[in-house]
Amino acid sequence: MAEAKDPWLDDIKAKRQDALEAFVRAHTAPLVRYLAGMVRNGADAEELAQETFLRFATSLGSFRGECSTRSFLFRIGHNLALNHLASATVRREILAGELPEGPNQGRSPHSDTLEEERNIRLRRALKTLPPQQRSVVILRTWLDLSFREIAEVLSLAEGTVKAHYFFGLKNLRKTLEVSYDT
Amino acid sequence: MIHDQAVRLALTGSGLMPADVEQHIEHCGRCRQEIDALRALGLDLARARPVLSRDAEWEEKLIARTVSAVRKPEARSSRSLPWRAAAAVFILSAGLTGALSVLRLESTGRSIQANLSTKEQQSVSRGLDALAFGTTEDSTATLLSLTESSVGDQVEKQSADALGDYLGPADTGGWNG
Repeated sequence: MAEAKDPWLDDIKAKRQDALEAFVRAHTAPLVRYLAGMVRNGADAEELAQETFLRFATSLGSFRGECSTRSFLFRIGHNLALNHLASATVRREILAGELPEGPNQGRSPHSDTLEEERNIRLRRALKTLPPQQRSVVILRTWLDLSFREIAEVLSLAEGTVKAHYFFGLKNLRKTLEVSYDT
Repeated sequence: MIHDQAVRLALTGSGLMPADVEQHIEHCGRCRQEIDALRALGLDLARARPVLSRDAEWEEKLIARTVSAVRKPEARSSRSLPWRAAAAVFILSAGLTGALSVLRLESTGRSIQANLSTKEQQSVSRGLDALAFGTTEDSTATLLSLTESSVGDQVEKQSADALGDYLGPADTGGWNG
């Protein structure tokens, strides 16, 4: 199967500084966005993004190019986010009822508009999904990754990713219907 | 179950669907409604993606840290060379010391064996024969008697030597009688 060549792979493996800088610049915002969707708040997401890039940098030597560099980066970020969610402190906070929020929660000057309210409700509903479904839905809808790429990031079969997406949307719809009713 | 399958394929498929599924969707209002609703939800979610304010300073720091982290492993490996050499020398000398100790113990054992009298050597072999072919009581009794006699002889010999050292030849009837 003909596949588009990873534009970053060779230069990054050769540790070319300009390529590394360009890679970090191109992927910081999507990575922080993804992590913000996964974890409690923007500060945690930024901290995890830093850790993700550091781990990416130190494990470049062992990276054999079995997936794209972007997938490799997001896989590291995803695993760090899962570890973060599993940590006792975060679990306690969520159990205590503090609902995780997105990074720009309360920052937008238009937060009183209907659209912004709806967005907030959607992001809240997203965070009630199980982590795998949440990851798939975020990677698909916020970052436009293909199902194949998502499968690489999450180390899952493509069919499983599609199932997670379908059930994720169904669950979201159910959650939103309940929240609209109440 | 066909409804779920049809909706899933419509949402996640690359466009081409099996003919029976396509036919089902065409005739099933419930499926069409769900497909539309979930597609709309996907679009709403895409619009709800958080807009991040770019912090240029933070981003520059992040880039600098990442670039230096890529270079660090190389520096670390060249810096650790002397330590690795020192560790190798230490392990080698510890091994040599251990081997020498074992050799010394072996030679001591051999000299003790050579100093045993013929009678004692015979007793040892008798004891071992009893252990191999006789009853447990026989072998134990033989080895015990051997031990007692050997220990007795040793104690006697050592006591005499020690006493001789302490008293000197005069007290033991030496020198001038």
